[in-house]
Amino acid sequence: MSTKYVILGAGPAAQAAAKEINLYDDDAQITLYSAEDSAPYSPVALPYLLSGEMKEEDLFYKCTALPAENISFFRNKKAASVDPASKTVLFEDGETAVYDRLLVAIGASPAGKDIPGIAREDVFVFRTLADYKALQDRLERENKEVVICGGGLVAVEVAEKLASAGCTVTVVVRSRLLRKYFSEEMGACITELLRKHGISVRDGRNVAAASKKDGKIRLTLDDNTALSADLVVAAMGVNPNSLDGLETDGAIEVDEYMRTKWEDVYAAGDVASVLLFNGEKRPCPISPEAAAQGKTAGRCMAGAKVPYDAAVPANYLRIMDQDFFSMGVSEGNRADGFVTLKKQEEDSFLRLTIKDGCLVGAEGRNRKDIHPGLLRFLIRSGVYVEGEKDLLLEKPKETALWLAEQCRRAGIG
Amino acid sequence: MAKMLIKKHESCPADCSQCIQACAAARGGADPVVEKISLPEKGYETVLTCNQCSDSVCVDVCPAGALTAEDGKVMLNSDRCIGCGLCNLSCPYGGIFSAKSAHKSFKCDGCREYGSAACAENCPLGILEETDAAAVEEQYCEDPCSPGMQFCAGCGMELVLRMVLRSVGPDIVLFGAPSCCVPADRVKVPMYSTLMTNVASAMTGVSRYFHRIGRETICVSVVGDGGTCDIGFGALSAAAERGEKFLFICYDNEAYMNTGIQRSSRTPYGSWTNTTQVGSVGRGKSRDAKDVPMLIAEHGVNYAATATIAYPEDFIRKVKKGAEAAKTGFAYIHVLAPCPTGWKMEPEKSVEVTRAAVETNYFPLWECDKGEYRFTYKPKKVKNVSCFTDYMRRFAHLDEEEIAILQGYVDARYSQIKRLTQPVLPD
Repeated sequence: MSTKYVILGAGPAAQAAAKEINLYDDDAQITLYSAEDSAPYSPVALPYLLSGEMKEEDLFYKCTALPAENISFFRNKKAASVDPASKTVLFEDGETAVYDRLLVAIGASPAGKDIPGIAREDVFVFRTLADYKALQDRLERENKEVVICGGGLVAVEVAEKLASAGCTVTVVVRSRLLRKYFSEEMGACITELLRKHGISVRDGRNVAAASKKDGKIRLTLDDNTALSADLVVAAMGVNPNSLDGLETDGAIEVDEYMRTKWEDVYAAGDVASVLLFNGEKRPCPISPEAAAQGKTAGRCMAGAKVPYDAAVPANYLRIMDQDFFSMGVSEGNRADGFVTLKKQEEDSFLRLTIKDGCLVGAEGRNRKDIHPGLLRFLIRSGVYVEGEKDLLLEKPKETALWLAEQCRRAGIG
Repeated sequence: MAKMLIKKHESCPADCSQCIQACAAARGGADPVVEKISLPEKGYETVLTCNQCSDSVCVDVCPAGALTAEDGKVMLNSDRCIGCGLCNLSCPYGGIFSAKSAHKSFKCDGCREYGSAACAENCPLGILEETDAAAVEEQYCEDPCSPGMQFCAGCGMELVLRMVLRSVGPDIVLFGAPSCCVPADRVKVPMYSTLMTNVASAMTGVSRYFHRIGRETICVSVVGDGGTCDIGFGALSAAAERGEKFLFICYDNEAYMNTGIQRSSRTPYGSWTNTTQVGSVGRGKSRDAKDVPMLIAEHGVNYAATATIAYPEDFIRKVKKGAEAAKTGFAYIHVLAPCPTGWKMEPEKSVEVTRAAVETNYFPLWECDKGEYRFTYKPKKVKNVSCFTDYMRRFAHLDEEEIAILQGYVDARYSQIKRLTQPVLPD
């Protein structure tokens, strides 16, 4: 008898899992349920729609490769609750689905959409295709004065793409831009670049009050300066989504096989709390790790036991034709045992963070010559680089490849 | 036909960039997708390109579907690439490149347009090499063995067994003798275990019966070098001479491993075993190995060949050819299969050591098809036999003089086969 695999969600984790189950289990019956009203896609590509670098129909291209015989897909199906005892999912429209194995890949939702003083319809978020469409629709009809609240990757990417598309953009950020992703130095560099690009960055500021008059939104910051806007984009991070019946404290904890504490229930992607390379346990809400987790979950659901490598957060950013990447720890104090090595050249930058002799973080600007995936391999595998760290800084590509090859020949990674 | 690019673990000459030039030319002057990596501080000189992983992370993470796995290659459709950089951030091998001037990634496409890999064709040392992967890929179907195989780590014979079963298919009766290879309760095909003396005789009986009743089931043996070359040699030689219709496969680990590493006629010169000790008197085996594959070929059989696990595409092709030849006569394949326990080596180097055996001409790969000899693989640059013996502690005691003697045996054996592969000129 074939096994019924139910996947809640249709993002990168869900897609990877479906593909993998299909590969491992010939008789699998796989069903994906998306809460959204669209075919499966990858949200990473959404900012590229804003700038016109990608067309909307191309967003769905990747999933046309999923085999249709064994995989069915339903849209507009938001799960309301799960009963692990009877192995049943209840959807918001009252229908139910019974599973043999369940993957919860329902992702996360934007936090802080409520800004006191502004009506809900004037505050936009940027997470799903529907969010993009709503924003795009509004931008086509109205003036293009936009205020973005938040300083994460979504805020910066949306700011850059909107500015490229001709909007007047202001970013209001509580501390500084990209605090979680890049070092202070690199954050300052990116801020300067955005300012050069005509984007006003108000760092260290909060919105104190807001109101709407004659179709214009007026925001007052905590230094008593005022901003006017046609619309506001709230990009203040995400919270993992939740489901009744799978009660947790935030994200769903999983083991290295993406199993939850409930029998035959797996979780992957932004909703799952996973082990990171540095021993932390938390969600790692980035697309490549979601795909890797989905893949692991799919395999294990189909009976293979291949554990998930520890997650290494990593990001790539392009601003005004300049490239940035970061991975692992963005900044560490010397007092906590972190050692930082830097190489600054006229138009490029590389920074390595080392702890206990192992590479734990790296970031770069305009270093297209490096293969950052090699550095990420060194971080993920906990490779001891102490004796070679200066060489690694001087010749990152060559040294990383040499170290990686040494590890692989010794059977690590 | 799917081709596979292989990069050997060898150092490139520091001043060589022929693969890169060839790559750029094949790509019509676009940026090459082979990169020179030079780290003189560590004596590290190599080239970097895409591994064409079958389980590719880049394909998984690409949000645009620009990267796809097709026909054993990872292909990048540049029109679909949005330059998000995730592939380069995720590939743990450094196989993807970022275009310098555009927001695009680019990578090796295995010279699809060009036909065959230009880099490998132009590598003067054979460090980059292209092989036919189709036969190997076909192997990734059902596992012919149940879980719980009992072999030592790094056992070459287990790989031999799996490759043979997968290549021949399920219509088979397997024959074995008392040896490490007694997988009777673990293989998913019928197995007939006989004594070491009479494997070939038992196969004769069963295969003749099958032929008489018109059944096409093939009889295949997987027997060690002791059962093949010493104890069962008489029965084997007789069956070969009679032209019995079966495929006899010998996995040669160069000693009696199952009973505790005693010398066999296939144990090479100088090798330590428990009966060719190294000490104040002995210096390992004092005689050269008996060239059994050549002896069997000279019986005038339908097909005889040598093979090893480092060249699976070659091995699989020979098994299939042997199975075909066994329909009309005797077929024999002699496979070098390392025993890390008896050879005293690291188990994870099993495949590597057999590659070294071929690259040093210690174990040349050849076949004899109805009397026609030919090499199926020739190393571009032949290495000294010590590149092979250095892997194993069974040879650790050999001094330069003894290595030279072993080298002499290797060279003599090689030139003998070489002579046979050359056309006979009229007087």
